[in-house]
Amino acid sequence: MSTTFREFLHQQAEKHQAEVVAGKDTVEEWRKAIANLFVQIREWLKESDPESLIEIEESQEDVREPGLGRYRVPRLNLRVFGKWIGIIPKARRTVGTAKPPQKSAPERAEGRVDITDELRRYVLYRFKEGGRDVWLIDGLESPEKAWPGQVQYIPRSEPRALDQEAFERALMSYLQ
Amino acid sequence: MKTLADAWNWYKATKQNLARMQRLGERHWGDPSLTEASIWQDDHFRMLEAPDIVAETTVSLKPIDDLAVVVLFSVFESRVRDYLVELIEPQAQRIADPILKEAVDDAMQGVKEGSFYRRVLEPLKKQNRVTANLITQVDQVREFRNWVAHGRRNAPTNNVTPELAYDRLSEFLAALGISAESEESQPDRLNEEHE
Repeated sequence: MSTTFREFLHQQAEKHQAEVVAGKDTVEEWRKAIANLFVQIREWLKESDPESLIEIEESQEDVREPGLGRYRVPRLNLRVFGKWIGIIPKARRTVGTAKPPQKSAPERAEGRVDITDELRRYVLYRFKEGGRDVWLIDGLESPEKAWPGQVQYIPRSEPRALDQEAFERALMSYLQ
Repeated sequence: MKTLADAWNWYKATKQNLARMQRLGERHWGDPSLTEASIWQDDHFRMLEAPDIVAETTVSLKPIDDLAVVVLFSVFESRVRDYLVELIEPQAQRIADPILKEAVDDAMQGVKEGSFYRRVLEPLKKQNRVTANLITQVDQVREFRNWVAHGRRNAPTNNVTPELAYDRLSEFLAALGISAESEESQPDRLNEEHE
C-alpha cells in the first residue's frame, strides 16, 4: 500500500467518524423535538377528546437520511371510526422551506413531520426560535388526494403556526 | 419496443436514470448550497425529501435486471416467431390438399403460439439453422425469464444478467439473419453517415 493511499484512507476514516459523531447529536436533538411535539399533541387530544374515542398508539419509525444514516424515531398512529392517521417524522434535514414567524424571508426548516392517511398529507415544519421549537403546518388550505402513479405534491399554501385549532382542523379533514 | 435494441436501450436508460436519481438523493438533494435553487419553487419537488428519493429508487432498481431479461426475451421471442411465420406462410398458402393444409395450419399455430422450446428452438436445432450450443444458451435465458415471470420461486437454475441475455439473443437473431437494431434509430444513423 502506498503512503498516499494510506493517508487517504486515514483522512477518510477521520472524516467519516466526525460525521457519525455530529450526526448522532443531530439525531438525538431531533428525537427530543419529536418527543416534545408528541407531548403537545397528546395534550391537545386529551382536551378535545375527553371520551378517548381516538386510540393513540406510539411506535417506532425507521428513517434513513443521507448524512445521518439509519435511525429510529417515535411516530404516532391515531385510529378512530375505522380510519388511520399517522403522525410520522419524515426527515431532520428536510428540503422544505417556510417563513418562520419572526423572520422576513423563508428558511430551510430543521425537521419535518407528516400528518397523513397516505392519501392526503399535511406537513409540519420545525424551526428553532429563541431556544424553543416552533412548528408550522403546510397544506391546510387545499389538501389534495393522490393515487398511485400520480406525482404527489401539495399545492402551495401559506404555512401557518401549528396550534390546537390548526391541528384539529387537519384531523377533522380526515374524519369528515 | 419492437426490437432487441429498443429493449436494450430502454433497460440502459431506465437503470442509468434511476441510479442518477438515487445518487442525487444520496449526495446532493439536501445540500445547503441548493437552498435558493429554483427547483424548490416547483410543486412536484418542493416536498420531496432525500430519504424518499433513496427509498423509491432502491425499490425501483432492485428488480430492474430481472425485468430486463423478461423484456429482452419477450421482444426476442416475438421477433423469432414473426420471422418464422413470414418464412412459412407463403409456402403454406400454396398447399391445396385439405389434410396437408390442416397439418400446416397446426404447424403455423405452433410457431405462433406454441411452446417456444418445442415448436421453435428444437426444430431450428434439428435443421442446424442455429448451433446446439447457442440453442442451449438461449434456452437458459428462456428458463430464467420463466423463473422471474413465475414469481422467482426457489433458486434459479442459472443466473442470467441482461448483458448476457442481450449477447446471446443478438447472436441467435444474427444466425437467423434477423436485425437486432432499432428501426427508429436507423434513419439517424444514415443521416450521420451522410454528414
